[in-house]
Amino acid sequence: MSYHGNNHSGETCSKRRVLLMGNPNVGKSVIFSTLTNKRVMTANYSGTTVTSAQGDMIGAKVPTALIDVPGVYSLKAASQAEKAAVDMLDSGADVIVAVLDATNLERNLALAKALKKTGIPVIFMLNMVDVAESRGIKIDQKKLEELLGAPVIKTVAVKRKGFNRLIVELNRLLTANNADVDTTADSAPSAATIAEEVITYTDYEERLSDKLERWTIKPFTGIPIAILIVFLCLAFVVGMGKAVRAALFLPLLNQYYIPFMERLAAGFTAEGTMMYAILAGEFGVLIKAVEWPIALILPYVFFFYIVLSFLEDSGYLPRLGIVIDGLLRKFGLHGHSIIPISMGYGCAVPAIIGTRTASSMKERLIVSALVSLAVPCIAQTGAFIALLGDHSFVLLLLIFFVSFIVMFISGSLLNKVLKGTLDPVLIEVPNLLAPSIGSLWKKVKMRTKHFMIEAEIPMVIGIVVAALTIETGVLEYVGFIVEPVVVHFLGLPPEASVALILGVIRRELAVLPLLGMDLSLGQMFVGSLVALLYIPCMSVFFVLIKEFQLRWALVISGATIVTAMIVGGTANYGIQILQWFMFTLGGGN
Amino acid sequence: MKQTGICAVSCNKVCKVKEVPACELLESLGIEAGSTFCVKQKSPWKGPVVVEMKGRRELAIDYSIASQFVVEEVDDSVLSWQQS
Repeated sequence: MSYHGNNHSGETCSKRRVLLMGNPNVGKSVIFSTLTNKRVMTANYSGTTVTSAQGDMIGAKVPTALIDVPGVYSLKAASQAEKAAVDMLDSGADVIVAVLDATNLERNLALAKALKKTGIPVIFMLNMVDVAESRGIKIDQKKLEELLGAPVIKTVAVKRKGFNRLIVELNRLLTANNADVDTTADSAPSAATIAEEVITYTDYEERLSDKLERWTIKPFTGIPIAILIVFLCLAFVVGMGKAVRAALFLPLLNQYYIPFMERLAAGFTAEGTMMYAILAGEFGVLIKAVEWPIALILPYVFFFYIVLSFLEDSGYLPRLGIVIDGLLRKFGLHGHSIIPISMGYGCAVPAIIGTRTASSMKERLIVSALVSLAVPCIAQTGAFIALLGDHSFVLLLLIFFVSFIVMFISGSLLNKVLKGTLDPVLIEVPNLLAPSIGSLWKKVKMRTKHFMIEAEIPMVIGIVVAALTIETGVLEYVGFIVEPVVVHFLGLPPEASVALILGVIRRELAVLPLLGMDLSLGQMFVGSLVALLYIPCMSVFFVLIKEFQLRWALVISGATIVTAMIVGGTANYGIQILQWFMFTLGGGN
Repeated sequence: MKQTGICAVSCNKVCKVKEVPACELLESLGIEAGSTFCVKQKSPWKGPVVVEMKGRRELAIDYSIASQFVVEEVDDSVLSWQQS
């Protein structure tokens, strides 16, 4: 393998290239965000960065591009991430910023030495020194610099410590003549010897955080903790979401916004005309385009992303994965799949992209199929809460229960049908860390903003389609298709087919139109079930094509529609039979 | 001392690796013949085995990989990193 270091200076690209490299989960993305002011996803487990990000470095004296390379353990090009890293090295770099995890120095040194060998000048950032010190691990920085033959900077990336010196060193290397830079480090001793020389372990008392770490992976305590955490998260999202809606959004909407828009629409056109209905009627664009995404869904989205970001940054999710790995394997899943699946409860798109960390295609397909089929995104969950939550909390829980059952059944089936094996688990267990409020807030802001941008336009289009279909009576013309499926098989009113049409655009649009339809509890339940399992949404469909090609995207989407209809129809007949029994028994008494 | 797979070692026992299964990632993670670690946790339903290595690092190893190891139980005193 050959590396081309500084020999591209005569080429057309005028910007200097700095590669940010290191083992997985050492904090590269946090450092990247700080140095470029660009937001990239960060979390406390390996494999958060699946595609490389690039940004202009702040504080560099010459124009410099900083590239966030996915974390790797070696340069052997064994995994997708390692291949990508080697390619990036091959295309040339002026400086490598290598991030080392101070709590795990010995393992990090193997990559450090490999990077030094490339001949490209390296600056080492010794990150998480605060955590290491709290664990009684002391590192002799001067000696490490000597042994590695390169600057070593102690940093605490999440607290922005150590960046000043990094920028000084970087500028020195970027403006220096290449000849001045010491790039000879082949003489460096082995990783074990370096570790021996620079690390001292001091006496260390077990703290509460260590006890917690132990409890979270022991089954006897880990499973109750997991149940408690899921329950707390659910209570937080639903409770806070409902409270904010009731205290803030609904009063604002009902007292000020709706009357205002109704007056505005009446100013344009007379009440009772079709134009008025489209603007401010049952599916009025002016009203629903604000009511649905903002007053109904946004509070849940916001609070969910607080919970998800907290779980990600704390490092709890991989621990949960370890406890339930054995159980999940029976259903074709893998302990680590808990991460993309939890992300799927926010939005399926990042969840499906996140499966790239898995090296087995089978596993990627199973997780993506399950997320598309049975994991409701937070927007849809918000819609379920709006539809069912006010009537029956039990039905709401029942929807989630059915979602789990469907996941388990289809997971087991896919596990049997698809060829290939599941990846074995081999992961470093991340330390439990208290998330930093700053980076947590940044993530929540980024994700909420993303939702607002992603959701608003399709939502408006969807509402216009709904208003037009219902107000113009187009539905009657397609009634011959709708009638047998929606009315007879699913037991829903004909207007409910609007929800099924809109559900293709966005997941929550398969639920929200049902809100104003005056349905019975049974109909709400059937409608929600169909919406849950039904084809995910346009964005998910395109992501599936991108990741797995058209064939799989069509297979997965087709399967979701069939499953939705079968489960929905079964539920409808089940409810009818139940009602008939109760009626006859009740009548007999 | 008798040699077994990791799955047969009881919790909180220290063992030394004699043979490593063929898995490239293991080497990258720092496990090779001669490494020592302490078995911390065995998960139910043939879930992963959690071991603690030098530097207070914890690693979760799949049951199927863990059972392919050949290890030897050693005295606790070998765990130099747990002492001052």
